[in-house]
Amino acid sequence: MVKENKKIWEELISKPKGLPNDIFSGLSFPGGTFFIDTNTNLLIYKSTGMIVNKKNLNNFIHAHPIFLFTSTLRGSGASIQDIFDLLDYDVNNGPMLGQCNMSFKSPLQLEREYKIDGKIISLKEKISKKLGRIKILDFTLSMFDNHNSKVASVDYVWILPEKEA
Amino acid sequence: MDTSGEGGIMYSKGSNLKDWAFLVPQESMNTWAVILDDPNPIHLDANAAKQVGLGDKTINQGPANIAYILNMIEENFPNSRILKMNNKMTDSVLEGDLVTVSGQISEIKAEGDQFIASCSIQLTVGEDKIAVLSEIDVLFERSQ
Repeated sequence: MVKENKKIWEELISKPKGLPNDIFSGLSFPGGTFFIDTNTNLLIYKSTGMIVNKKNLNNFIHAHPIFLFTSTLRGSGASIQDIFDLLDYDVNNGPMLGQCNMSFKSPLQLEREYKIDGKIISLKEKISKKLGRIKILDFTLSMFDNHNSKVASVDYVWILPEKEA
Repeated sequence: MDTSGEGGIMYSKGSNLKDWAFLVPQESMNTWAVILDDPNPIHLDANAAKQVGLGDKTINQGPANIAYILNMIEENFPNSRILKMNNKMTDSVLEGDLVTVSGQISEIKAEGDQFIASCSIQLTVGEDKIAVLSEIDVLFERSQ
């Protein structure tokens, strides 16, 4: 299935120009895995101003919950750049995260590999008062443990400003 | 409902959580670009942000802003567990901004021997620019 989804992505990315928005609805991500390592966990705490100490035992045992973002975006089999390539979208237009809804069935563990899967929900066009013509990309990604049980999932809404002609 | 969590911290419906603040440096954005494998130049080059009409400074990555909120929850509910978190990004956080995460408990429910606190949180830049609005459910243990 992973190979099949990857092939579909590769085919679409090879000829992305002029594809209708509807063609992306329901498109599965290629899928893949992500390993949560202790060093990146510490980097996340440090870069967000948290000092890991004995008072916060969770920081030693569990991964920072924001790993739901990094794991799903990096382990889906498609990088952020791949997603923009798929949509024939120029990253220089300044894409932005608009909304994200996260849910956890259990804490994310350190030094563990997770399977990542998901799909694009929709790509829609809209006129924004602030940004002008934009596209709104809605997609969902989930993390699964080695028993194939869903551990967490996140629904993303990205705002993609279009360059005015 | 009132209850106490780890370290005897008291929680009750309507009570304010302890604020959490952070000054956003460019180095953190550079780190997050690597962590996310995100090539978007608006996080790394002020000119890129300017070119797309988003101001004169680099723009912090959205996931980093959400991580600040998660840090605030961890500070207020030590060794708790996030069940659900809905985030709406309403404005940008820029390099050099001082962000403050604040909020209150809107509901507390018993769940067996544990409790779930529903919290309304906002991440504010400076005095009054709200950059993120979040609704979070946190599972925590009653203190022994």
